[in-house]
Amino acid sequence: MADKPFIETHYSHHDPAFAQDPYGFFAGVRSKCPMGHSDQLGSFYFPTTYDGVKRVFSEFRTFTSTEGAGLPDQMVRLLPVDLDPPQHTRWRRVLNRFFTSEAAAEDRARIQTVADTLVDDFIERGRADAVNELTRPFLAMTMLPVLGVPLEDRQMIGQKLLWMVHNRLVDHEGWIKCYQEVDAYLTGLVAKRRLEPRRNDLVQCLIEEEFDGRRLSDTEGYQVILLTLFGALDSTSSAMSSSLYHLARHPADKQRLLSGETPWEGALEEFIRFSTPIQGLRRQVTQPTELEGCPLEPGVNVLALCGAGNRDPEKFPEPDLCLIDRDARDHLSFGAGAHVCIGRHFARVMLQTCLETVLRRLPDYDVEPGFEPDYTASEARALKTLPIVFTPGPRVLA
Amino acid sequence: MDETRPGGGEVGAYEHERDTGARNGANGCGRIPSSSAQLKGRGVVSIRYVDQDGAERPVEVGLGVNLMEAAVRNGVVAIEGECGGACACATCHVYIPEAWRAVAGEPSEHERMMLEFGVEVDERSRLSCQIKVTPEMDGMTVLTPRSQR
Repeated sequence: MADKPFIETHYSHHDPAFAQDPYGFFAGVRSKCPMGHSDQLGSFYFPTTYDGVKRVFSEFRTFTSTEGAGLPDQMVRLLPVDLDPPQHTRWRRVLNRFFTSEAAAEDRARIQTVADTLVDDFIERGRADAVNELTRPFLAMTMLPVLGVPLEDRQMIGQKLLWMVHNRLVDHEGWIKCYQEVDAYLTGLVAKRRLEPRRNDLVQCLIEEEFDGRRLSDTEGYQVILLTLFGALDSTSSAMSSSLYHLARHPADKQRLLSGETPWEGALEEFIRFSTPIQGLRRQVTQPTELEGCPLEPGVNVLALCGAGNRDPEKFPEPDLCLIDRDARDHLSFGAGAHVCIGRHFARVMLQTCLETVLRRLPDYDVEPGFEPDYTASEARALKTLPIVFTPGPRVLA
Repeated sequence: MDETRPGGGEVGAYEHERDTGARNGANGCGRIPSSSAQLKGRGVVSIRYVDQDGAERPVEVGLGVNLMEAAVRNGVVAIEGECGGACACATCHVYIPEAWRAVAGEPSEHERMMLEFGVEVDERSRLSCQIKVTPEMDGMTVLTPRSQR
């Protein structure tokens, strides 16, 4: 039958083929109709416009998170991302103080040390894989110590979490097994902390503070930690590697940042818009509504595609160009609404520290000749590798 | 080659699309103009943001723009607006003085619920993201709280 107010597709954010260039696909749908529908992953709708995506994130009473933010289901509850306001607000109010812009700024020196440590490990070599030797370990080395993961376990836990981010649909059995291992490990860490002297940190908060009028169970505490780690892994890493790739290909932008002609503050937002590390999150319709001209019934899934909203030419002219002087502050890479990324202030500090460190210590770095970008699928879209070459330099830490 | 996969050419190659006849709004597939675009160019009013130390900041705000957005865009740092105007975080809490209450209006039931999360809330409290600027607000004073957390 004709006259459907949407375009039918087979889109899936878990499909590696779409992950290579989702933007061309989104633009194609958008040029015909603001709404798309996919018969994949149990069927879902997806707005392709900035306003449509933002509305899904903002109107939590019409587009609920309580069925989970992952599509398909994450198989485990992640807290507080699976809650709606006002319940969500009570959790968020407790957690926010660990993630403020002030907290992120105070952590800058420690984050710089992480960057320098990682660069030290390869700077004498003159070549490196910027993804697997810098941007991915960067996040694990920044977040895992905060949770009390000892040095010798960080690589193991980091690898398991990273694998989980990308293989939910690929290997169901393996995912469950990995989840149980990570569960046992992190729950054990929290249990250990209960016996140790108090510290003013996130784990202490999860142990002893009241969320929505009561203390958390070990499992709930673990679910918060797991979400924090998922959020901190291939998201910021993706923005870092994508930005390094852009700067290697656009030396003029390198110079504009180094000279101060373009302020970091604005450039970071454009890098984050352009890379859109988290491509999309799921909401479920709770009441009959119309989205971008398409009627939706209760119970249907909607994928809020940050990547589609961020490339809407009506919001960001020439959306497929990374223009570091543009005002990209309204981008949707951190989502929007109640669940806007709690780690966004840390993400900005980490991204800036990473890029500044590379520009300062590897000023002539370039991408290896013949490199062809290859991106991960799933909610997190990231470069799998970024081989770089540069003039070797000295280590700076003992 | 499966033409419904990526790399299969332009979007016209995607399955079913030819059947829907979807073309540029011919079937209700048109793009809905955003409210901000509709309101552009209809004039501005002056809003005075005053902090707890009495420091005043006048901001020119376009009609239809909400008071949170205007504050954030103009560096009124006492207003955070974390959720971006979804009435879902209560970090854009402000006080509307008695003299301007009628012009600013009363909070909705939902806004009242979210005000539960504001800091030092009293009978003057509003969430600034829920107040859209009207011509009657020209010269209005908005008091910002000491903290949003």
